[in-house]
Amino acid sequence: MYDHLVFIQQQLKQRKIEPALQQFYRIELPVGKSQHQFYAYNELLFLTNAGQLPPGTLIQSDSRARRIPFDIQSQEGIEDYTGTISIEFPQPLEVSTTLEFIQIISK
Amino acid sequence: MTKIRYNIIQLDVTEAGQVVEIRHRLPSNYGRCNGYVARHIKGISSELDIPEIGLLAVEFNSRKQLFINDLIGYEAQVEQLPEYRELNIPLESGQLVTGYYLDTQKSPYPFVDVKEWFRPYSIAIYLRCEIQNNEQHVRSSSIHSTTTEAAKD
Amino acid sequence: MKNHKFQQIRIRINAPGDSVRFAAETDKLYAKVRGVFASVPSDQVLVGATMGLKINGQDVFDDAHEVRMLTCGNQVAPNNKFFRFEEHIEAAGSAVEGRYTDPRPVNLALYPYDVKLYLWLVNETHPEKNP
Repeated sequence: MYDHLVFIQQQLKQRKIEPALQQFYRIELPVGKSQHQFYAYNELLFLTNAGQLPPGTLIQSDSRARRIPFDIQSQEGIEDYTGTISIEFPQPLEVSTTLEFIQIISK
Repeated sequence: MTKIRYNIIQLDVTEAGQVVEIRHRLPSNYGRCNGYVARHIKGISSELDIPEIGLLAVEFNSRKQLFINDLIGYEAQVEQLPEYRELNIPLESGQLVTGYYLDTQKSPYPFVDVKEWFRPYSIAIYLRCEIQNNEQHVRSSSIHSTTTEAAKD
Repeated sequence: MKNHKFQQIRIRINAPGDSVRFAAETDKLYAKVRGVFASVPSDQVLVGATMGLKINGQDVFDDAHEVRMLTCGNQVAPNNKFFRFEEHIEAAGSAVEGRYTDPRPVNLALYPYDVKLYLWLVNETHPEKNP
């Protein structure tokens, strides 16, 4: 398994982003939630637990969008989101779900 | 002398709600992108305009610059000449244009699921780019009259 | 000497899906090509139709360029119908070459038809003035 933190450092270097702060960031969503929207301007949020989200979930941001596929058991790759981020579940959540991110606030 | 080239990124949407990823490499001699048009090109058929069929995000220079967040609609009739929206992006040689297109169509019929109603379609992103080129034009002198030739290939 | 000319190039399309190469030469009395406008007889053949264009050896549009990007409806004033080139494209007897590709619409009664490509030729170098 590759190292998320090393990957993120390489990404930031390649994209010439200088971090002011790097930290873990969690959002807990209760049972029954089917959509959640929040904001991440002037920062990047790397989603680290995409594999634990229900298949069919749509994550959309200003820079990237991804639908969690049905046919992948484990997901190693992580992607970053920025701007207005919305998470849309295929059905209302049956169990409470946590979104886990590594948050990069840029200088 | 500055030359203009129109680079076309075509995306095929085959499922309702699909996220189509953009990974496109511009020719390395492009120096600047100064405009874009994004539009539906084929597949959707409707007698009425549809204000939104999807959302588009485009980043330049291998994810260094996010420049386009736009929506794409459908025009039922030919009206105005499509106008390029202005950009001013110096391009780094050989870097990627990235981003996504997200289909957001809704079924116009209350009891028909969008997945049943959906038909595949295509959109295109036209990027108007400048090439810095000092070559002299070479004029072709082999053609002297207006001719047309069918070439079915 | 006149400053403007609208030169017409006609391209005959005989059957659905035809991909037709065309070649012409600009009027040598005019210095540059300011714009282009394409006209087809029906919107049904417009959706998905493409046209590549090369003038004076200079690639102007790739073959995948939609004709819709070069045309507009009847409600648009004549002076605003043309797609205007930002760069200098030399006329003065330049070779014009291209390829029109028909999109295979379902209505066979439309065939054959002519695509008319209008080149807006001018002499003055400043593009602000309309004819």
